[in-house]
This record gives sequence, structure tokens and C-alpha cells, in this order.
Amino acid sequence: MRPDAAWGDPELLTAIAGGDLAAMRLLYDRHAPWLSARLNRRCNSAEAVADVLQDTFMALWKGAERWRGDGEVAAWLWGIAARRLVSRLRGRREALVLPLEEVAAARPAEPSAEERVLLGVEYGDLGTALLRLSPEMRAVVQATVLDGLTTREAARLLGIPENTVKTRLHRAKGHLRQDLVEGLA
Amino acid sequence: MNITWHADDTLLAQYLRGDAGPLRGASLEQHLTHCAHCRARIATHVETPPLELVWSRIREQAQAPAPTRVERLLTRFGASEPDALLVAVAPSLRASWLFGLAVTLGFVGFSATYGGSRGLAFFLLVAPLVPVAGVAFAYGPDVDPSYEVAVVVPYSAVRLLLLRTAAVLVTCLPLVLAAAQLVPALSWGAVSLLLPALAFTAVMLAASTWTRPSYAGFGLGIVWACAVGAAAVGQNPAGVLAPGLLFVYAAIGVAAALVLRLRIANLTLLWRLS
Repeated sequence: MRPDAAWGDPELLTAIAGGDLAAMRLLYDRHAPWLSARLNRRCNSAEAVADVLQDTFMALWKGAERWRGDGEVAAWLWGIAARRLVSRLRGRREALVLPLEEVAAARPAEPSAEERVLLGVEYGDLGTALLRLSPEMRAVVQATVLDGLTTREAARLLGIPENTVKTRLHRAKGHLRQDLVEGLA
Repeated sequence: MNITWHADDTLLAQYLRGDAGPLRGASLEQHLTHCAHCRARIATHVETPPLELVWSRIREQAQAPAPTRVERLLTRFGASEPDALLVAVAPSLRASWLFGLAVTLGFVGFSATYGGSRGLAFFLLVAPLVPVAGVAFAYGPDVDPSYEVAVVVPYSAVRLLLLRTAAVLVTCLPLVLAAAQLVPALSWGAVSLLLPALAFTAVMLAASTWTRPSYAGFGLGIVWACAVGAAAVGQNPAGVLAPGLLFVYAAIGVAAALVLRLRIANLTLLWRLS
């Protein structure tokens, strides 16, 4: 049976595990655009992003059967891509990571009402608490909590020592907890 | 997950430009992980040519033949995939070559065991030349099917030669030592066979900076045959492994290694012109 656009991601993954390149093409068309966009937000070298995208789908090609069959295929793919990005950037100067600090510095400090609403929809009370974190702490929270990296991987991605990641994450969690408790009160 | 909103075109365009801001960006990313609808929407905003380029690379890589067993073994020991491929494609690392080598050494070893001093001379003639022949058949215009390709790619010929030499030595020398165990007259001398074998390999590599490896290997074979022949005429073929001579082999090996070090740049040039 030929895979077609009506197939869901899990069906495509099963076909890919069986060596079906057409199924991989369909999955690529679905997921490569947002993956490349998300990678571009973390690394400003187009070459590195292309390499990581290629690595990610090659990992998928060789290990599609490793998907456990639960959860979002998109989240699984991002997990692979984020790790490939970290190892691609290891020890390289050419591909600079866009630190969220810089992006944040270019923006007005006070988030708009729209931002509050959007973040509230995706993260609930946590969203508003995230807004109050300093950009440095937010970058660490983004890398570890949102992107799902380990502290070591996050340290490589952000170009800071592992211990700094740990302290910042610890402090960020403290702030968040305090904010959430106060919010409930 | 219960989807209550979808990203609009403005937000998607801002996100792709990089000016959606960290918070709206993070929200959108989290949303995209769970919303196939918005993933399809953002796809219409992303430029396709770079993605097509990556896809063509993926397709090529996915359709490439699977690495051979030798390549997988080499990569497991830390060689990069291209290095492993270049090493594994050498003729003297093929299973057929190794099988032929094992049979030859087996016969020669038996002839040394049961054939008296002539058999021993024959064994001593063949054994130290095995790695030399292996290296001679590992690189060069005469024998290497990938030679033409190797010459034009921006890959160091020196690196290739040394990698293949190492691989040949690792596969040949255990076979030579195993065969030497068959020869009673050599029980301790088996290990001393390694000295002339390594020295000759170094001489062959050094000579390859002047001429083709196959010519160098052939010349070396003739010289060694004369030496073993002379010792056999004197009724003492094992004399070529006399302790005094072992020092000579070691000296020759060191000298050849130095020459190779000095002239290594000539490797590529020479074969390209010939």
C-alpha cells in the first residue's frame, strides 16, 4: 500500500521503519518546515541548520522503530533535532547560537497583553510567571524545561558552564515557585 | 491536548523573521509541537528551496549502500565513515585476499615443518614479505580500483596510505605470526620475524616516494629472495634472523621511517604525474 497524505504520523513512521522512502518524504514535508524554523531560532548558521535537519531525518530513517508509539511524533522529532544541534555546535565558533538575552534586550521589558494571553494559553499560570524571569534565566528554562535538554546539553547550547546552568535553573525554579504560590494566594 | 487557538499569519511571519519576541516565540513553539494545523500553516511561510536541498541530501544518503562489515568494524574503532570507506576499499583488505593469504601461509608453514631446511628457507622468504605485498596492493595506480577517485578528491594521499598501511599490518601480522607457530625451528624466532617485516614495510613506503609502491615492493622482494637464497645455500636459512642481523633490520627500519618522514610530500606529486 502506497503511503499518502491521509496517513497519520505514526503510520508513516511504521512505513519508514520498513524502509519506505516515500513515507519519509511525506513526513519530511510535514515536519521539516517547522523544525528548520525552530532550529533557525537557536542557531544563525543556515549551513548548521541544514546539517542538523539532515542528521535528524537520517536518525529517523535508521531508527524509526525506536519510536515508542505514544505522544506526539513532533515532540519526538524535536528531541532528536535539539540533541543533534547541540552536538553540531560543540566546539564550533562559526555557528553562533542566538542567545535569548539579546532578542529579549531588543524588546520592551513589559510584555504586551497579547503575550500574556498567548503564554497563559500554552502554559497556564506558569506562563505569566515565566514573564517575570530575567532573560538569562529564561534562556536556561527554555533550553532545559521547554526544549527538553539535559543541563550538560543546555550548557553546550548556550555556551555557558554547566554549573551556571544549574544555578540559574535552580534560581529560576525558586522564582517560579514563589510566583505561582503568590498568584494562588 | 485541547487546542483553543491557532497562530495567525502575522504571528507566524514574525516568528520566522525572528521578531516575535521570546515569549510569543516560546508559546508558538510549544503550540506547534501539538498542533498539526499550525504546522501545516507555517510550512506555507517557510522557503522551500533550502528544504528541497536538504531533502536531496537525505534521499542520497538513505539510498547509499549500507557500509560493509569491515567499515562498520573500523568505525567502531573510532575511524570516521569516509576514512573507513577509503580504507576498506583497498584490494588487500578484501576477504578474498585475506583468504588467499591464509592458505599461502598455511602451505608455506607446512612446507617449513616437513620440508627440512629448504622448506624453512621458503617460509622465511615469504613471511616477511606478506605485509610488504599487502601495503603495495593497498594503494597506487596499478592495483587500487578507487585510485582515480582518490587522486582527484581533496583527501590527503599520505593520510590514506598510512591509514591503509596500519589496517594491512593489523590484518596481516597476526596471520604471519600464526603461521610461524607451525614452524618448530622458529618457536621463539616467530616474533623476530616482525622486525624484518616492519623494516621492509617502512623501506617500501620510503621507496614509494620515488616510484610506484608495486615497483618498490617487487624490488624489495628480489633483494630479500637473494638474501634468503644465500643463507639457504650456506645450509642455515634461519641465519637471516640471527640476533646481529635483527639490529640491522631495526636500523634499516628506522632509517626508512626517517626518509619517509622527510620525503612524504613527494608521495602525491609523483603518482599524479606518472
